[in-house]
Amino acid sequence: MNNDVIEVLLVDDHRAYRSAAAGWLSMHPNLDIVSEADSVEAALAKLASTRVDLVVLDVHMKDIDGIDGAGLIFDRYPDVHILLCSTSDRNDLPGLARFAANQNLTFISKPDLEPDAIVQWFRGRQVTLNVAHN
Amino acid sequence: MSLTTNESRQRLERLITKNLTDDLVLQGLVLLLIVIWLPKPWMLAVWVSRWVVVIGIWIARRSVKKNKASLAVLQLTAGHCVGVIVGIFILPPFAAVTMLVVVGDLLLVPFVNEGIRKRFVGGLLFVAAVGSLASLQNWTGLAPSAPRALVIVALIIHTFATGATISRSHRENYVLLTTSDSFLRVLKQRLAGAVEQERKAVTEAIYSGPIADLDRLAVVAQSINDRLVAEPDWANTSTNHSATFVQESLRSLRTLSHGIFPEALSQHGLGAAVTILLSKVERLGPLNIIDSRFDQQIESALYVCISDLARIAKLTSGTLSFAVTGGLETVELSASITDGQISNDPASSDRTVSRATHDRIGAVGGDLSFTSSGSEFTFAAVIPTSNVSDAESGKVNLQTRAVSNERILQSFVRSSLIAAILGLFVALAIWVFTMAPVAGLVSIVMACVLIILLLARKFLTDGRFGSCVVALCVETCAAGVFVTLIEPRIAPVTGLITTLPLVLALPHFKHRSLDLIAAIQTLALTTVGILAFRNDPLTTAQLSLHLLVPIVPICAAGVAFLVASTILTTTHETVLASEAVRVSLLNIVSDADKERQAIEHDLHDGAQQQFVALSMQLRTLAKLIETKPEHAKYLSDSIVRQVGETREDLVALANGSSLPALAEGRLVEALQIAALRTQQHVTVTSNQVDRVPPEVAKAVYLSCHEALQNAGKHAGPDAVVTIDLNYTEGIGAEPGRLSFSVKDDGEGFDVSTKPAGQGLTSLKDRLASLGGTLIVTSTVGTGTTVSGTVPALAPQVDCQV
Repeated sequence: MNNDVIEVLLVDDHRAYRSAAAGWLSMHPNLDIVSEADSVEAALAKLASTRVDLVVLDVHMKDIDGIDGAGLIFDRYPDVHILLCSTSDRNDLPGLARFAANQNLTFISKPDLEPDAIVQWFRGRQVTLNVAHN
Repeated sequence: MSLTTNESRQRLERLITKNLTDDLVLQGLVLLLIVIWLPKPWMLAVWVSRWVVVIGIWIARRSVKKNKASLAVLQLTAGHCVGVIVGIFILPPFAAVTMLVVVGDLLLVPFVNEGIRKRFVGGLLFVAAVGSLASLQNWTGLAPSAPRALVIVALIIHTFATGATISRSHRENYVLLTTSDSFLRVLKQRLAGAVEQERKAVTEAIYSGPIADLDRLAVVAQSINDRLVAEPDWANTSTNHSATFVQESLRSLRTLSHGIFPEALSQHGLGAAVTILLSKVERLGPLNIIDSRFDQQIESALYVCISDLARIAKLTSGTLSFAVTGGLETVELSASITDGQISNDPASSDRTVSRATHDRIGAVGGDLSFTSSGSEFTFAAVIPTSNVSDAESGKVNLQTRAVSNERILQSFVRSSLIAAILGLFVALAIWVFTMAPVAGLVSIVMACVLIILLLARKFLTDGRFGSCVVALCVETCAAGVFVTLIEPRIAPVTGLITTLPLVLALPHFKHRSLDLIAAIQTLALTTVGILAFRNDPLTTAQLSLHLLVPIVPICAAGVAFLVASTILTTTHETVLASEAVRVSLLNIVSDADKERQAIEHDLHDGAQQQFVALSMQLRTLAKLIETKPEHAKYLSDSIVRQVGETREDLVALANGSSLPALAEGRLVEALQIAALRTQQHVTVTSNQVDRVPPEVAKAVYLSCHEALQNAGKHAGPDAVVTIDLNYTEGIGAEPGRLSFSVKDDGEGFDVSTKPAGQGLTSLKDRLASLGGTLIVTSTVGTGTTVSGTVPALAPQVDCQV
């Protein structure tokens, strides 16, 4: 397995967005979209069968939203990295505060989703993302 | 429901002040008479007893100034009651006129708290009974010493004064009720207008913002697609430009969706919404918002208030500070803007709150006040928390209704009939046992009353309310006068009877007729008063006192009850009607809020995601052109398609269809929403169309919508449009087909000379891609039909990669 490649699971219930994001992120040589899911339940099922380094998780989803979903994923896979995304501003998402101390999670506004920045954050470099650390 | 609004208190205060002035003037006149002319003991006694009343009014006036309307009415009435009883004890022949005070007090019953209303009415009925009983005996012997001519003059003056007070207070009361009712009706209309305007503004904003952006993007995306192979450098630059353009467009879309409805308000409450709202206000003082959630209506109203205050603060560059406090019964918002530059023009928009603020606070039953002086602007709003929940719980059984005058009359005629039958029975019984001619005469009068009442009932069932009221007025006045003529000692009862016409007539007649009725009533009352004072009875064989003692008080209380129940029914009907208006008004506001929320949600979850996706695809395309140009064409095609689809969704959204409804395949529902928004009369019929696959639903919806738009433009304003949807089961492996038609009976056109519009052509392509067809047929003079069919496949399971 190539250590340079980050295996990504993309979770979003908006199909058009999901395929655009998959295309956009896979333009980066170090990002590999290994799987996609349209809900938290589907994501948990994929995680059980697929090795994943990073979950790119939408906040606004039906049934279980991304914030609760991130909690569920961390319960079972504490080492996975999660990138929460939303078209909302992080000020509109007070629920993010519960992950303030978790180094494995960050929030990014969807229009700012840049493959380079994701890779840098994942590798633990000093980056200026909209990190949800208050 | 008691009247507790500011306005009602002010009116009550005016009424009491007027009464106090009248009484003081009267006292002055009586004193003048006593001093210069007749220092007789009976006059002094009357003068002293009147002071009790004046003191009652004075105390009441202090209470009403302290906003204790209910207490004020009780104090006023207590003074009156003592005055009535003392007055009748001193001068029994004055009883008929004095009893009018009881009617006057009964008229104030809407101001009394509901909890003690029954006891209030009961107390007054008791006073009526005691007063009439007291009038049967000459207790002090002072009356005969009074000179007859003077007493009659005093009586006439007193009747006019009391009669005028009664009609004034009753009218004030009724006007107050109907004013609040018509205020609500006007407010409702205005709100509905405002909601419609806001809806138009949202539509326009979506058209002029994101849709216009997509139109521009569509042109660019098409030319990138066309020149991709030939001019890769140009395509690359244009793609990068377009990606930036979409990002910018997305930013304005976000601002737009935030402006439509603050998502935070419904999700996280007023505090969170206000924090976001005020993040752009520069000068803020201390802000305090109670950390509990209220009814959504109240939170929205407060949000509207605060955003209006932020507007004023911004205009005057003042410092805004406010506090939202609340308890179980009310929520209060007090705010001030200090150090601002408030314009000197009193009509300037930085000196007053907007109409929307007034309307929203009014809709939740709140009061607001504001002042602007010098550089300071202060604002206060008080909203009762109970009103809204009352209205919510009453939603089911309160339909919009008018004040039902019919019900008021029905209940009056019914009680009157029972009373008249009882009266006739008693009078006949007395006549049979005593053979007193008086009883015989009263029986005849009662029989006549009964006949007129039956006639009034006939008028009522025929729907002739005016005639019914006139008949009842004639009946009460004539009965009052004739019975007093026959037996002066029943005057306290007949005096009460003669007050009924005005109480009854008020909801039915306009000012002129009411004045006439008031004049006739006062005349009848004066006649009763004078007849009561007469000491030469019509017949010599009078009824014995031991017969009158039980009858008179019972009759007095009975008639007073009739007065009270009529007033209460009138009040109740009016309040109920306004309450229904208020409920429907709240519904308008809440429906509008829900709609805005839905649009915000759709913009957020639909359009914004699509814009983000577009910007990503454009950036991907730019990279692909550089690295793998052979793959670029596929993506470029998909971008052109996506721009078109995003535009279609936004058009559907701007025209009021709920995208979630379409996304879930609820086609009929989405079309019904669209039908409501058009000028023409549109009916939607459907057969077996339950759930349709989303892409089919969207294509059919857009086709029908386009056809509706065309009908609106070309068919003429009176055209009737029918949308018909029909599903036919497929045979064997064939999928079922959904056919649709949009038919108008407008002017029509010649299909051979006029080609279909651009909109319909692109929809034809769209339907064709789903395996469907679209046909436009039209004949000059008979109208146009747009019809089509499309295979309605079962919704596909969303496949994962």
